[in-house]
Amino acid sequence: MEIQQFSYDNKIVQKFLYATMLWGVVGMLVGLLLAFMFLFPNITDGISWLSFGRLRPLHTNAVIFAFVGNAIFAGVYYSTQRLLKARMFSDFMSNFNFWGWQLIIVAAAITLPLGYTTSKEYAELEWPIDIAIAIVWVVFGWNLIGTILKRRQRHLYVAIWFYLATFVTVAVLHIFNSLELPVAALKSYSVYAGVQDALVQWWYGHNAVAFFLTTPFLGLMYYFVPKAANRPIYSYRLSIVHFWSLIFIYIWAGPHHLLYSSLPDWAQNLGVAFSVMLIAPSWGGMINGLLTLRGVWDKVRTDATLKFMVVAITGYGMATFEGPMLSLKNVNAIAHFSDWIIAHVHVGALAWNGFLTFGMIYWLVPKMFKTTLYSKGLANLHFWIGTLGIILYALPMYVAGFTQALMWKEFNPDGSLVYGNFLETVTQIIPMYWMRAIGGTMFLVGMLIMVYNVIITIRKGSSVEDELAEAPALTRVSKRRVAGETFHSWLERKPVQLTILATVAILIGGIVQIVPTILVKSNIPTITSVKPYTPLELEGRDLYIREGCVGCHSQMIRPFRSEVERYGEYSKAGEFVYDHPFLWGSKRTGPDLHRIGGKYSDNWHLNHMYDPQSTSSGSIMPAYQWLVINEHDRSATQSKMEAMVKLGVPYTDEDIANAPQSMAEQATQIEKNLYTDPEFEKTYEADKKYAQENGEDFIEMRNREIVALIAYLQRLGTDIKIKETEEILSQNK
Amino acid sequence: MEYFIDSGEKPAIIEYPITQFFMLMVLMILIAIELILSSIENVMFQTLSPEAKERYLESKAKKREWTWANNIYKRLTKTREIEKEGEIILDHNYDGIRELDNVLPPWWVYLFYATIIFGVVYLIRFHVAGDYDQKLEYEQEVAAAKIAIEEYKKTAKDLVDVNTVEFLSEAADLSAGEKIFATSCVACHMADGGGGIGPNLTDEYWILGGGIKNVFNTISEGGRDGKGMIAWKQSLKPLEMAQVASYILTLGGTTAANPKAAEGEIWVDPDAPESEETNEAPMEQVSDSTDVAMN
Repeated sequence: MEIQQFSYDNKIVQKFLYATMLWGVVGMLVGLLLAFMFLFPNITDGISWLSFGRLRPLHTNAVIFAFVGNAIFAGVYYSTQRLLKARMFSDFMSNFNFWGWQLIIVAAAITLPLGYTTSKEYAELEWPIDIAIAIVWVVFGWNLIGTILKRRQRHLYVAIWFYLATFVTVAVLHIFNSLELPVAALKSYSVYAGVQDALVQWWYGHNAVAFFLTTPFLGLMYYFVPKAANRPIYSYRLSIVHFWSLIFIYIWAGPHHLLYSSLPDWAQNLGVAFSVMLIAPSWGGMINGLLTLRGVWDKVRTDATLKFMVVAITGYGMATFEGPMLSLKNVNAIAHFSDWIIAHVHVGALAWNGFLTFGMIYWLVPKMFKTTLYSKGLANLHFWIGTLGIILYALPMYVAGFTQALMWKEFNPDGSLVYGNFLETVTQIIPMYWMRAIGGTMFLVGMLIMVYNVIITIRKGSSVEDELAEAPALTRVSKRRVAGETFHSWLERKPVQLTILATVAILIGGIVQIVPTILVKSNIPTITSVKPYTPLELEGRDLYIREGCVGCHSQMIRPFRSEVERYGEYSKAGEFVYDHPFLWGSKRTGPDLHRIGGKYSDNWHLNHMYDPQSTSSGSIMPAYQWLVINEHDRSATQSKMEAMVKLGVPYTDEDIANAPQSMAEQATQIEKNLYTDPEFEKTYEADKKYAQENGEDFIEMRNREIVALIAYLQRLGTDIKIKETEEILSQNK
Repeated sequence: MEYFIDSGEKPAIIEYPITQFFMLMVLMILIAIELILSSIENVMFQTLSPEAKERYLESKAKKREWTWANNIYKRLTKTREIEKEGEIILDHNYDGIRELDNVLPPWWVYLFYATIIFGVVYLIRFHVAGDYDQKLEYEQEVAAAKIAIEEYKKTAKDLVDVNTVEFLSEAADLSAGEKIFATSCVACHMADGGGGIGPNLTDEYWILGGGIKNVFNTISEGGRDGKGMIAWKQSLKPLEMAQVASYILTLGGTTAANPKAAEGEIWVDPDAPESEETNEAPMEQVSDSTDVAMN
């Protein structure tokens, strides 16, 4: 057998590791700023690009795609080469992957604070960046598969199966969820509307958790845990069973994000059933990870890497048990929209993704720089401060979520709500927000300690950019199964067949749920009184999207007595048919807004946006003063309407032609309404006079952004009036 | 028979200190029993012959091995002992990573089967058999609440609603009303009631009628759709609405610093309290939440 010599590309791994640490710090800093905004809502007063609504997607994207994403690439590029005994297929592609990904992150860090967002969670980036993500991701997959094809190891190890599943599924999810119709360079509308958009979004959103935060990390776990512990994997059979069951079942679970919403009952039920079935497949990974450590638990006490990994795997086990429990409708009725979910995702993100990444970094850096870790003490300090940080973050959020959700539901014996004012339920949990901010600070401090430790370690080591290795080339064997070879063992040496099978496994669930929801009409009963938004309301809706209102306000009243009492008639599927994209939201830091239309006067909204605390004392909503001041750009309205027509919204040619006039009329009416407040009249006229006297340009109120936003808010949920509901329901039958 | 002491806000041990004594007694008795048992055992042990003593000690040591629990544990995990794992190590070698061929842990397999059975039963129950859906669930919740509220109203005393509300002239009520006004109303009506977003409350013009009943009703149900005030019945209790309504009436005739121009019509209190206007509104109030005990 001919022995071949080759080298592993360590340089690319190092680059990804640096990026991981850099973006990790950035993402967590933004998160911390957001945590403090709960306590000091106007801490970034008046700066639109530092407002909560715009920074929230930046935080989630930075942590998921920048921090965890780079960690995935670092770990995959390191382990794949060694597991396949081959250098990456193409150095150019590796570097294209690296620089392309960093450019995407920079583009996200610029566009999100500027308000360019699709508003679909974890898919907020606008269409040009979506295309860039697709290209870079395909290059990554190509590079991975190319390496697999030129491998010197006949069978693929379980980690590689997970990497392949990750590549295929993320590509499918990203492409189908991001189908959108561009109307401008950085503006597009989702091709799906309302209920369908929600279902596709959460098919994506849930499986971004599954195939971006879970499967690649399971792959990393399967490589780094046995390497660091120097122990064999506990059970090969368990690997097979839990791999296939995990990727097959995970894809079905998306609808559990939409329980008690207007999603058809059958889809919700599928989501519940498959979520519960997900416990065992998820725990299969945990068992295989933890039991691999059998016999080396004494090492866990001294070895920082193993310590981090044990907590990571434990966190994974807790989060994947909690997930199915949260999918039970009666638990979800309490937890959904509350801080409980924030606690849940942070156990996953901080413990599972964060700690596994830290463990990997502590193991990789000394290895790649041919040295030992600068300080074990600091690594231990990082471990403890990080663990404490997780606990201090998660526990108060559980308490906060539970407390607030119960307060939302509490009735007086006479049938009125005990906490009818939403704000009362917010002020109650402020101490929990304080503790969360402290926990988050501790976690970040731990991360900074690690960065320092790593920098000193790298300085005292010497980088090995191309690590030499040798292995015999593969000899040809039969394409078919040879005698005594099991099916799976055969599959492990046939990467193409394995990939195809995995693709089939992940496609089934999505197809069964999404295709009928889009094609079968009865899933979304039409309501004849629901009409498209007026041009000004459409523009106002785009402002609502731009400011990220959906980050704190839902537009989905669930069919509970407590919600109907508080917000009004529960939301119907037919009300959202013109909503490209849907704006149901997933968190209620503030109250639901689906029936806000007509509840307050136009003046109230103006004052509230300008200074929320003036109308709602003690509110933690930040001020949106620029909306009240800025001139509203309405130049693209007609092309927006044309795009909507292409997506099936019944605007007539006349509607589009008359759009400027219609907007002017509606805006003027709102301006007129605002004059009912003498205080408004006084200050507004004074401003006008001042501008005239000083020769400054003055923007009439009717031309400002706030007017469009008010128009949209006053329209929300008014298509069906509460009094007419019974009638509408009978129409649907 | 009563199982729990109703101690109100405070924990029972503070409200009724005697319970502390009782708990201490129980503790003492438990300690005493424990002491007696161990001394009996000691005395009995000393009476045994040396061989018997040895046998006794042996059997005692054995019991603590928890063999049955160990057996269950083994049966549920079926894990190969670490010393014998050489027998099940596979010839896989991925960059030095080896793999064992432990069987699937039976407890894990049972868990998987159980969740699959749950899933199948769940889908059959709610999809095939068509047990309740969320719409029905909601309707049942509302129906049950309606009955409970009506039941409550039958027995509740001192109800205040739009029919029975009276002007509250007590200083305590008015100052309570003033407090509510200061937190909830000033944003739109100004601190002196002169009006801003909302109308002037100091003049004799009312958009939706003056007098305690109309003001109470406006506060409870909200103003005109789309331009008026929100309904406060979700945030304020009926008594609180009566207090703030009374306070608002005391503002009449005062001079505001910055009075808003009059809106609505001059309100003249009709002599007969059962005028049409006051009769109309309450009719729809049956399931509404304006009734509450005043205590």
